[in-house]
Amino acid sequence: MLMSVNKIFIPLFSAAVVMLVGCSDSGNSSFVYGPATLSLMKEAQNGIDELPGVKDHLDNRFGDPQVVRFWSKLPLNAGGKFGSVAETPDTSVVIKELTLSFDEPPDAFMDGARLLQFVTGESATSGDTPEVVTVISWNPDTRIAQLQREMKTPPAEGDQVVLDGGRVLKRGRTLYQRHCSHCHGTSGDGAGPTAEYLSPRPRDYRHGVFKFTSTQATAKISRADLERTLRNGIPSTYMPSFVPMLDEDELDQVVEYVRFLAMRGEFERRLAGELTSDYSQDALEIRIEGEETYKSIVELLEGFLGAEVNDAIDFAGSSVADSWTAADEEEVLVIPSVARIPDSVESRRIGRELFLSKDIGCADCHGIGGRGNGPQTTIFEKNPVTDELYYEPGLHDVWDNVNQPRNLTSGIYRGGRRPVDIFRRVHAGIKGTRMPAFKNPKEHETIWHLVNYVLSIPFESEPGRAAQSE
Amino acid sequence: MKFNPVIVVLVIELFCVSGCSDTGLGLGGGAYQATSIVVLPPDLGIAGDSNGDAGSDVADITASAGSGPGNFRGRVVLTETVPALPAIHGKGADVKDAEYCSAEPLPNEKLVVGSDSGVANVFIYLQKPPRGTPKPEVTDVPVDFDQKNCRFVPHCLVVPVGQTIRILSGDGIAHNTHTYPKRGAQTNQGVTPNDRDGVLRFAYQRAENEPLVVKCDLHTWMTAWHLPVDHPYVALTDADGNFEIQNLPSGDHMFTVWHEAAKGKKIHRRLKVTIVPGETTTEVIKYPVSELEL
Repeated sequence: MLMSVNKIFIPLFSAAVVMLVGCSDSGNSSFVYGPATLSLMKEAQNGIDELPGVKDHLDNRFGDPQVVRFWSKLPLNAGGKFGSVAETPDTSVVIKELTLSFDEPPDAFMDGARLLQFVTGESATSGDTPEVVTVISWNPDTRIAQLQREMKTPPAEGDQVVLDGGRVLKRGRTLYQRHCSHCHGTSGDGAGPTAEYLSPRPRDYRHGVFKFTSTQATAKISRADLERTLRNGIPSTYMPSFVPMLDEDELDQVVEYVRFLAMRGEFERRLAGELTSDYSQDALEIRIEGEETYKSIVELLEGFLGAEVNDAIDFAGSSVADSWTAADEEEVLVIPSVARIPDSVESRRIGRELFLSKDIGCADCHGIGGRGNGPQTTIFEKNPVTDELYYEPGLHDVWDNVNQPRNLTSGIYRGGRRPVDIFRRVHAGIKGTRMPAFKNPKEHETIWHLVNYVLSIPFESEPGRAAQSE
Repeated sequence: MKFNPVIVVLVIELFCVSGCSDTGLGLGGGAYQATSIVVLPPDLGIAGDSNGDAGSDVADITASAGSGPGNFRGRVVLTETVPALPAIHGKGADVKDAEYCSAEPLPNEKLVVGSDSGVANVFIYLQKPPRGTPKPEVTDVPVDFDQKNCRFVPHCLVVPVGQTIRILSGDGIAHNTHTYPKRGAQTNQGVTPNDRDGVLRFAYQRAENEPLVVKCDLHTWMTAWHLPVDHPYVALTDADGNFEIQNLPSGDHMFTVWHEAAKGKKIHRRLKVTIVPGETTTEVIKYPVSELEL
């Protein structure tokens, strides 16, 4: 009898244990590491002894979806009021009040915010996480904040603080997880659970490249562009409009969190990229074939991770911060220097001639009739960076997807159907794809003729033929 | 009172299952999970060394300034003779835009061997210059990057960061210049036919660790290599494999010797060269045929 009970009891008990373990983990999610990081030697990924590796440097700056870290070097409107400790408090007594100065002082009710986080100084760095205290009252005149409990580590004058720091990112994260992550993935890698059933694939943000922008050819996408994409969706893809489901504030919050994920991915690619040529698994193999030993390579890597990595981090952080800052500046907007040439049969005729000409070569990819079936669309391409042939024929984008030119007879334009949208596609190209920029500054009129022709293609009586005169 | 252990465990499991079913709400993970945010300062401290000096194997220019600079001169030679690479296509071949693209035979420039097995188009450069190295001179005169008969001219180019490059074309057809830098931003620019004024100009904003490939998407065989640099200690071998780098600070340096046809693209990852003040160090860099990947 005892035996038979055990026979049932033990497997059941094990199942219960497994289930309990399963439950305890549920709901937590993590950011994944990108291919650039994973291509590195294990020691470069994970660090050597006390020296942090690429993964540690990334996690230290961006955290995980439960504890998001906002590295304020990056141009994110993360939310919160920034300020500093105005007077070093008397450390001979328990510190339960602080004199603070804020860039934009909150009102007597602290604008509804309560949590004060220390960003720099001992209070920020002495523990595992920066010290956070609750403010129970604030006097804007004396600038004295009463704290709910005493400070663990005494702060000093000049220490940076933030009130309710990162609230925009925090809400953005929740909205993103609810509405976006099932396609775009928790990490913004375009590999959420539904992604593999979609064509075209959801955008992988981690290159920091977005296709449909109003900015110059080499500039990033602006906040306004991301918001427009959320408002309008992307026609003929699975990207829907999120208006009116999200209100104005919520759109901003999602945009900011998407920018956060893009910057995280780009920082990772750039930092890992600094190590690729010397410390990737492929480089390791080639180096060992040569005159070097595994041990000597690890020693060199140790030198790199101990010192030069600082330059690499500085480069990766600055280049991400600079380029994303520039994207929202007015001068990077593509603005036609001449008003639109009025649509006319003559303008369409000029546009069509240009479309078919060897001078611009539109038809090479888009085809003579604009069906997106030009001769370039059937070539077997090599990946320009790895020099390896792609598995499938056709034009490829930076995400290594086959990305065929738009069929212009359909009248569906993913980046928007306003004439200025088409103008910008021609002027700045489509980022991350083979569609080049035609930004010759003397030829804005030329671009308008092309726009007029392109917008007329869906209405041709027979696609591929110019409209018959009546 | 006695509990049947089997029933107790079953009850626990049912409880667990009902608890678990709730987690499906957080599709994609954690939508309903509380988030907290930690704000970090811009100049986040980096564990370990912070001045970036230690462990660096390059000479310090200020330490050796008193002892004066020297030169590094030499050749890159193949260890055996190899037959010249056949042309990518011959004159009059039936290729795209043949009127221009096969007006002349198109040489394969992946390996160009000159007299006495000297190899052209090898980049020799310091990976990281000594501290205090002056930036290379940027001139108002733009550097030309031309395309002629569907071939980039020059095939290899060393260019200082910030130096304006003019994109020219001598062909009566469209080209596009598509750069693939690792550190900087890509350029993908359509080129106007027969543009001899160079309406299109660009400059690299970042130095690269190794040469980057430049392609034309309309004529996929078109390939060039650019190396944007932020220091003057760089050379490109001439048609016979000769190179010279002048005014190097004295001391030990580690050079990278890069060629597009080498395995892993590097003939030497770290070639140690000692520079003596006022003297010229000469070296014949041997390029083993076994390292070729054609």
